[in-house]
Amino acid sequence: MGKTVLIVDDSNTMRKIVSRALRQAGIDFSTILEAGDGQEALDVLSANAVDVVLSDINMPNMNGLEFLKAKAEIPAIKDIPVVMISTETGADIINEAKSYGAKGAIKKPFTPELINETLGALL
Amino acid sequence: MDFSKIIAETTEEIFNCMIFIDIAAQPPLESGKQAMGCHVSAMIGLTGGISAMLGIHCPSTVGLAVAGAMLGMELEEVDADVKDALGEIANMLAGGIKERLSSEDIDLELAIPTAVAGTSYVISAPKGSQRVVVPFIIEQGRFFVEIKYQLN
Amino acid sequence: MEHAQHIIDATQDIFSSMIMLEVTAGEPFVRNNDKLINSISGIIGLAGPTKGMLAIHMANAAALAVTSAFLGMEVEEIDDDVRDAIGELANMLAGNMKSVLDPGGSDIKLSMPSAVYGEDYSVDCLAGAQSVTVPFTFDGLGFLVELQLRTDG
Repeated sequence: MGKTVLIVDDSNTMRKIVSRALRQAGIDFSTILEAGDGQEALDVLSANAVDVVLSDINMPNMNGLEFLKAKAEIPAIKDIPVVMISTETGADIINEAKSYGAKGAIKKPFTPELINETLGALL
Repeated sequence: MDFSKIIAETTEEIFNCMIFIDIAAQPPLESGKQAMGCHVSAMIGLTGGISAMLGIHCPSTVGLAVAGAMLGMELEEVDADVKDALGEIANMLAGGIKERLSSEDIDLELAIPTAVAGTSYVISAPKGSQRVVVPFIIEQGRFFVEIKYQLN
Repeated sequence: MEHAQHIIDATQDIFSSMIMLEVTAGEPFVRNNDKLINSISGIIGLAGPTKGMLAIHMANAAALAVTSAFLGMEVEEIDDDVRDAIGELANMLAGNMKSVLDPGGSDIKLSMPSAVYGEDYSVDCLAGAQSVTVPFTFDGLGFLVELQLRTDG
């Protein structure tokens, strides 16, 4: 059965790029949902059964780290795995994200193979 | 700081990973020469150990082909999607440069990308700054990746 | 819009102290990436935990008048002097605003200024930043100062 993925990024274009890479990654996603910031992502997670989240870190309103913290407080969605995507990803930010529950990180530029490998392990 | 090599490597990495268009780097333009015939550009500031502006400059047809391949869709005019996609490439190029220079103990921070588009424009840099421009060839034509910098 | 007053203060300060021009601020607005015709823009990136860009957009006539006053010599065409002066103006405005926005000095760093000029172009900032633009007038000429900022976490 196809999986549902949520892409969280403030750039509409980046969401399209990630969607395209997901389609090429060879994972059977039946539904690709999108959110423009952490708050929208929380709303989408509360209203839909999502298998995995791919989230940007740098976003206005609620950024990726704040999103992880807020999500961890909501029992119904706290166990949905989140993988961070970022360009300028220092080891300290990644460690901070992991301390808030992120299951992994993908650095741009990324290949469909890397997405397959990272998400495949979580699904 | 061999910028023509850094630019060639970073650009090829991004195209191989995310855009899937074959590109070939050409030798850098002679000093003083600028990218010509470009109608859409994305640029991003970097600062820290050096102060710099990184840009990608494309003729419209090349910008449409690159952005279209990156987004997985047909694009027909230089719209927000094209500018955003080139901005994302500029952002990744700057990230690649930051990573490579940090191994030479030069720390950098990135600004956010800006797009410039139009039928007629030139982008200049302050007097005294260095400029490296590397042309790349794809099927639709040439695009240019440029860094202008000053030592801090 | 919260930064409009910072733009006005910085611009009036720089223009009266460095260029000896009194400029009048108009109503702040959000610029719509409109085309700039026969114009020049000085643009500088702001990097660090607070990121963004500052731009000054001028029609050629205003850029020539400002550069002539700035350099204390008559300038008649958009040449290297004008490009450097408008880039430097963006640099000084950003430096002045940094001292207000980031008094600690660690949150915003300035990158290198560029000048974009031509008959027909647009300048868009891309990464979902907050934007505000203030129009200014002097001697029947005008220009725009635009600030885009985003703070990541």
